[in-house]
Amino acid sequence: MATYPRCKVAEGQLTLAQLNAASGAGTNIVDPIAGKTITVVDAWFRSAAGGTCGGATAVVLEDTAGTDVLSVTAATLTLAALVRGGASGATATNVGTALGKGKGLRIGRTVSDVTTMTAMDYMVLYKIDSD
Amino acid sequence: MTYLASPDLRVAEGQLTTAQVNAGVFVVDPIAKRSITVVDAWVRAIGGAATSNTSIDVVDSVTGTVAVSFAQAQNTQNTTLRAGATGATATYVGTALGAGEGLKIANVGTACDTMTHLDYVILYRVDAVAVAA
Repeated sequence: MATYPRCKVAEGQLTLAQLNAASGAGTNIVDPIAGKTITVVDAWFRSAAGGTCGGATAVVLEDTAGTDVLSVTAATLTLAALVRGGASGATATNVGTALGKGKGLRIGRTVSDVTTMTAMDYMVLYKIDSD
Repeated sequence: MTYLASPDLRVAEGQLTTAQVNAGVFVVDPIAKRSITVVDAWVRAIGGAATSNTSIDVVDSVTGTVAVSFAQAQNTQNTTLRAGATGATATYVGTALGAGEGLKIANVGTACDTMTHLDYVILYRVDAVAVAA
């Protein structure tokens, strides 16, 4: 266990196309680091434009091997509402769990493409674990 | 825009007197050429609820862009009021603020009273210097 690990932040905005990219796997927001694992400690999503998320079942934060960290149901992503991990509709299954070694983080969608919502803000707090 | 680097998260936290809130006070000093992005924040009224004012805002120090606005009605004694919750409008959370500007906590409306102190936590990152194309 690292002593006094630093908290890192990944935050920004993804377009609908970025969420739907790669057959729903989405877009990388944290690049993989060889030999290291990442632990997400908190996250939120917010529909930034277009309206409530439609089409998809959920928007998901996962590692680049597909392990879910945070899954926010589409209906919960109403325009301008900041949805925190652990809130209603925001299942934070693997928040606080070390993810796969050498894996990064990505945000994508499940089942069908996202519609209506044209951009989504995200904020992910994480730490990089020692070997 | 996405960020594939791993910027460190910074934290500004402490306790202000009501007088400081009413005067407006720096909680993060400006950094030349760099902008700050607030990614999360909360406040908590101590000694009583915030009264008389309209809101207590986290703003950038020159432009006055409001990152988070904590409404008086929800800023009750000993309640941790988080950005994005009811009464805590997080309009510019996640948005880079003005280059070379710091962060201030400032009262809006009539001077705040009853509350004696305000606890605050602001999580933010410092953005890299923009490079002209």
